[in-house]
Amino acid sequence: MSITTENNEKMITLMSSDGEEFVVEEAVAAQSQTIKHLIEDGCSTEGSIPLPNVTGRVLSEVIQYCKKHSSSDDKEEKELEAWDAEFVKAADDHVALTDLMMAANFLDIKGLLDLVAQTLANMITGKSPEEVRRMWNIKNDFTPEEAEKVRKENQWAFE
Amino acid sequence: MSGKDFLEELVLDILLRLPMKAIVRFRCVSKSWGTLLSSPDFVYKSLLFDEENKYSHFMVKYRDVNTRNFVFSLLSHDTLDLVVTKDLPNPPGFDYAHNRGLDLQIVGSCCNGLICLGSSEHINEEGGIVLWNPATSETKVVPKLEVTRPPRTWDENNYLGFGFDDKTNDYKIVKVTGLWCNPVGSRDYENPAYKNEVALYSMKNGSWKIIDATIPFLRLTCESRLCCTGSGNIVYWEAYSREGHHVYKNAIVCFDMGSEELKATPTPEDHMFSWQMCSLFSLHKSLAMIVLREDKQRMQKSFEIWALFEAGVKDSWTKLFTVAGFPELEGPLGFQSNGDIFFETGIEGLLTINPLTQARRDVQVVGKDCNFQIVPYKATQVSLQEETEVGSENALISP
Repeated sequence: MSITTENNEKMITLMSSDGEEFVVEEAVAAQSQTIKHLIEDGCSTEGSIPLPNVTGRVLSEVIQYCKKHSSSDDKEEKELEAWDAEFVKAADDHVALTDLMMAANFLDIKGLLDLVAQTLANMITGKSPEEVRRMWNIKNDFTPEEAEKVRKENQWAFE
Repeated sequence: MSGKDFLEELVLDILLRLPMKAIVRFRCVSKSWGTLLSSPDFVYKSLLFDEENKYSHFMVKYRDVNTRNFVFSLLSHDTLDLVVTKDLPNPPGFDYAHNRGLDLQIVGSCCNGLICLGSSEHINEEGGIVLWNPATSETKVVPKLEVTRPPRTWDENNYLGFGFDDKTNDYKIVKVTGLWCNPVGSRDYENPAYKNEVALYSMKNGSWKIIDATIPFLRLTCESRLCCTGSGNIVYWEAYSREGHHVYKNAIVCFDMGSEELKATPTPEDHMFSWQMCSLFSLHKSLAMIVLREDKQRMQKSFEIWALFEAGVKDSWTKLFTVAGFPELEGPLGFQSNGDIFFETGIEGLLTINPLTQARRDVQVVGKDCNFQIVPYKATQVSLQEETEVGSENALISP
């Protein structure tokens, strides 16, 4: 089932992993290559497209991004850049950004994936290995001897 | 979400974007990060990773086989298909074409759409350097540097660099001149009276100024005096530095167009320039140095590809690859963003080699001369007179 608005825009419904429904224009949703292919393959006939990997909170952010980017084709590139910067700033911490990046990856939205990846890269650039481990729960599996050796080999990058 | 899933799926896309110093530091995070961030494949990808500069073409400079004129071809950046071939500009006051014995070079690289051309024999003379916007065909002959030097001073060699200072939005040319100032009159290499004079031309101001940025005992040695590379606001040259009494070492010298500072970095091995051919290229994140190792007895040559991750830090040199088994290769010319390296050959002209796979591909251009220069290019509408930018149509390509 698909609804059509007054502007004759085709609408589709996206359902998040936690059951939240979002009604969006097809053109907005189709910025996601994954959704675009699902629509093309006729997978939206049940009334909504289920997105089992994306929570409602993250999906609403993704939709916000897609709306902005589908309506700003002719707008100033600089304005869009400024909007992007505010958008990732609002996502705030690395956990939210990581979730957003996972969603962008699953939904296959290249622009959003690049934006979040760059933001996370900027965030960790000045951090120590210990801080990075803590951010993403990465286990330090070096023995103390190995750790000292690898640290020594790359000493200049700590100075 | 566990750290493991995240690492496998997406971390690569984040880490590729890091500066080289952070990449090297994060080798200490875990074993799998250490392996990934040390692999030449990853390091090379990261060095070439450039989201911001989307080049549209490569500009190839060479001599036309028939007319012997200097021409340039534009090749499509991704496919290397030939788009157009034209003569290099020859504005009044820059009449290199009348003297066909001269060489004419692109100084460094294309910076933000502009090209700087110099004739190595004449860079000290009026009309020896010209700025050129290929997209608008506009040219501007750079005025001669007028400078008063102390008596009994004579200049040795001149070296040029061209770059763009994105902080002041200004195109700049730097000229380093080796000066001998010796009251006794002898050319003593150990004499501290040898110094470098550094002059900087600003396109915005339209004039030269002498700046206070020298390194004692440093002598630039590029075979071609214009030969340096420049990515954005840093240009590089090869040099000798004096480390002690009668002890000379090779170094790379870089000049930052923004901070107007010179910095020297020793080469990974001593005397790399003295017996080998060495070429410098700028990658997005660092400097690449390609060194030719020749085994004359066994008639074998190989090219070593090195990267300098951080200017000034000798330990940050990394040897990435060796290209061997191609006896026809004469010299490297530059990098494609997919990692292929341009080489010129004595016979065929141009080809590319991928240092990872050693795959080889011919590139079609008309010239068969060994005087190629290749720089990545993207058009700009910047005017050489005033710095107002008016969109970026690509007038060069349209008929």
